Amino acid sequence: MISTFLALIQFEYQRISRSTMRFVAICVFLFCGFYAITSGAHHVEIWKQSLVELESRDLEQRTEALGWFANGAVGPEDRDWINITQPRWADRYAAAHAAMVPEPLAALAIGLSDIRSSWAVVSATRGAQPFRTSDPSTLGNAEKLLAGNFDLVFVLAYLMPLLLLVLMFDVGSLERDLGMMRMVRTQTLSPRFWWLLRVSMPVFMVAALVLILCLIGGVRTGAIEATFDQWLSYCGISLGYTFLWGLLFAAVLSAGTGSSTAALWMVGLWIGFCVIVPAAVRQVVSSQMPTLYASETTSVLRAERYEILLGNIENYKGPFYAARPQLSPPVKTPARAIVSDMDRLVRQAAFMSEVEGVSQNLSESEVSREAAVARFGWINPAYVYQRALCVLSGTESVSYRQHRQVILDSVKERQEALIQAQWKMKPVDKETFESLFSHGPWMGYGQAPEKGTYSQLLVLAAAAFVATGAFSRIRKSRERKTGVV
Amino acid sequence: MIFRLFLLELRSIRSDGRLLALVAVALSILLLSVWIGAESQRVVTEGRTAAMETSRQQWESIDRLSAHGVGHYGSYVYKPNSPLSTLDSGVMPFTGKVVRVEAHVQNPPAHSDAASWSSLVRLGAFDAGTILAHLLPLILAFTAFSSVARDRETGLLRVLVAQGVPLRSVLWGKSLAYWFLSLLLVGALIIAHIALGQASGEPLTTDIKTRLMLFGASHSLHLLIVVLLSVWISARVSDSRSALMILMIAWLVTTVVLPRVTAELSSQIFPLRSQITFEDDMKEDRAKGLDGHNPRDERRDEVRQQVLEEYGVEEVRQLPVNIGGILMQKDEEYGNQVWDEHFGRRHDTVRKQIGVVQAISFLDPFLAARGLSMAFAGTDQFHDAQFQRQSENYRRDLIKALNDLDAKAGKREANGRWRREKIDYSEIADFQFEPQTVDFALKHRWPEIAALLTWLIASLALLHWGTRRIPIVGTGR
Repeated sequence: MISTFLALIQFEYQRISRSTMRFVAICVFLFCGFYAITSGAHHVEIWKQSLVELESRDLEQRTEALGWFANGAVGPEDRDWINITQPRWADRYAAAHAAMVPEPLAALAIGLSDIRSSWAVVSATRGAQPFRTSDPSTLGNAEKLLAGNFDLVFVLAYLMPLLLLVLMFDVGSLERDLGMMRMVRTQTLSPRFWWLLRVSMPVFMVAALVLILCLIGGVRTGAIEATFDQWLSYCGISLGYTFLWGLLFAAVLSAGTGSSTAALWMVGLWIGFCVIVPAAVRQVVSSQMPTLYASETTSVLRAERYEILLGNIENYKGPFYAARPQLSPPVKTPARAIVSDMDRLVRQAAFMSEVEGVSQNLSESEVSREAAVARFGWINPAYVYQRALCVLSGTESVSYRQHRQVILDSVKERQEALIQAQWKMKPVDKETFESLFSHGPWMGYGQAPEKGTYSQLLVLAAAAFVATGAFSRIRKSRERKTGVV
Repeated sequence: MIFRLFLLELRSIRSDGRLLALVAVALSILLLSVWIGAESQRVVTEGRTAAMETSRQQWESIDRLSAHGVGHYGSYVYKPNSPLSTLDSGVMPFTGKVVRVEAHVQNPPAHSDAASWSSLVRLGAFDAGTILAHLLPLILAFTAFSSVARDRETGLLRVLVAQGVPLRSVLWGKSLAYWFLSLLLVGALIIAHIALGQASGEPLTTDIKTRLMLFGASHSLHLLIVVLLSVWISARVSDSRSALMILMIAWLVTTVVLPRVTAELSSQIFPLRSQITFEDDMKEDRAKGLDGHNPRDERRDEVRQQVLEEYGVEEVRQLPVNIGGILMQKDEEYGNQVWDEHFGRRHDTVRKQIGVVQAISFLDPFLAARGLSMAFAGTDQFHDAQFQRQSENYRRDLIKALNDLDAKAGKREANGRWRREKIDYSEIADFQFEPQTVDFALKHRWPEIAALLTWLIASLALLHWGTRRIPIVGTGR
């Protein structure tokens, strides 16, 4: 057995090293992997640079306002209507953003980070920002988005099965083409062991290449050092995905066809699982649950907002005080400007409730759309794999939904802080002003993938395993009947 | 002779169940994509109509707002789907569908499909354009990879050549047979699209007909190039397995790797400034103009003086117009210059990025085919930019109309106060999109047309003159 094993390893090595095309395929794969890692790292650098610019913009505005506090002023000299001791102006000058910070793994799984915005203004008086859905820095060229990402996930999800195909399609089938199979069977102790070894050799080789790329990616992006567990999961899922494809192709080879037929079947599987199924699932779900024209959101942001702004203030005071039992209407009638500011906050709070409602609906419709997509998960391995890695890297839709919720919460916290300050009927002091800066967390959203991910991939693996057995049985029975091996 | 060989190859394809199955699968996928696309188009069109009606109702029920207040209230513009977007959705899923039109600011389109999808949106679209440009070349490569190699391995090629059949004719006959298959698929697709369009009552204008014809022609040319190269490689390479691998790697590089690398490269050669810098620069330039809401602005005083001189009065309270409306319009006009400058620079950068892709399409016919497919379907970046331009023009006209109403709809009372008249805003028309003609697509996509024709000439030349080193006898025989 051991000598067979060693002989086969030597044979496989010679088979690959003497075939220019196979050698080229491995080199192309590795080159694509290196390029993908570099390209992903470049994308994350730009992302980080944006956040640095954002931070410096916030800092500049805050420093200007703190300078006024230090000088005993309440605003710039040339604009005397600005008074940062009033909550509404304090809100404007206590600049803060809620930002999504890239996880180290984001460079290896860009996901939606070039489509969705990773930051939003936190302000209680400058409108609702959670609906900022586009980032012009990338949406400027939609044809670039259409072309797609070139990150490591793409290389592993798309190109890895093709490399496996190139290395595997003539394993056993070439011997059939050349009429050598009978000889192989008579000369090996266990034909089954021979076949298993031959089939598993390219799979392990590709798995090693995948691991090398993950390792290089982990080192290059600092993921091994910063988030080792997540990186380990990334490697584990990638290896699992590699073995899944190995199993699928083994099922094809077990049918005992010639090399061109095996290649056709393998390409068919690849086209089906990597191209047709993901696109068809998207199209089908999209036609059942279309995204349409965001009518609900636009209505809230315009018509309902104006209805609140122009409506009778008394209609909004009741719910306002009911939601905040610690507050009560002022006993003495305050100055007209203060009454106006208080009314403005009451209206903003009412508007915020509407925004929360529509945001909730938006999230629910996204979740139900994704649930519909997940139903096809067991025949959609490329997407399930990609999604798992993007969830780990904090660049999947679930991360952006959480980010949107964090933005909403931050805006709400800011609003409550301003309401507290306003109802104290005292000017906003430096400490209160500085406390407003904390409304806007900067965080990453990487997390473990949903459990369903593993079960969906396992179902497909089990199906491939069963198919391997079934095809093998059919082949044997055909061989017994016809005598042709 | 070529015709006979063409028929012979067709017979050979017909007898191979695997190839027939592949063609049948391709045809089913194409027809299914057209049907699903048409269904989606119907739903989206209904959704747009409903959104427009809701928005219009809200607009018409404006009651207590001044004309300038209405400018802030704003309107929404909804992007229509191109009638041929069912064939190729192009960049549409990635670009915003709704533009908020309001005073003082030019908003980019928002609410794209991609922004509310998971990363599934990254794995391609199920439309005819993608299937014809991505999948069909692979299927053709897989059907043609052994076309000549098989004849060589069975000895048929040697017999044919010994009988005086020129090798060139053999290659032509095989190429035409495979191209004929792809033409059948393209033809079936176009007929299915027209039939579904007619069934749903969509008008088939001359422009749509021309676009359909060019869409089919561009894909057919691309597929002809693929067929010619596949047959030539099958002939040139000594065994069919090597031919298969060469074709697969070529397909992978041209349709999967190079488009992504090119897109990355174009954005690295001509980078777009970050959104933050873009916004800050615009804000800074905007602040230099007269701010309609800033009573201390010096430029505001200058304009006020000009207006007073124009009407020959000394005080604002004597003006027969509301100076607020005039100031706001002046501010808008200044703002428009700022938007034009910054958005214009951005559009220029995007055009340059697309220029890089167009240049590289001379190395990769897939890029040319994809660009032309989107352009003829009216779903490329250039068509999308037209929607943005038209919605911005509408914004400018709308805000000007509102500012004019703000300035003139009212009268000066004896005490010098301006009394606004009640305005019926329902008289202001909604946005109407003017679709581009096919000339627009041809004007912007000529490099791709040139690239495709160059590839075609090169492939034809290869098939015609590149037969000298083709082996007639297999290495094993």
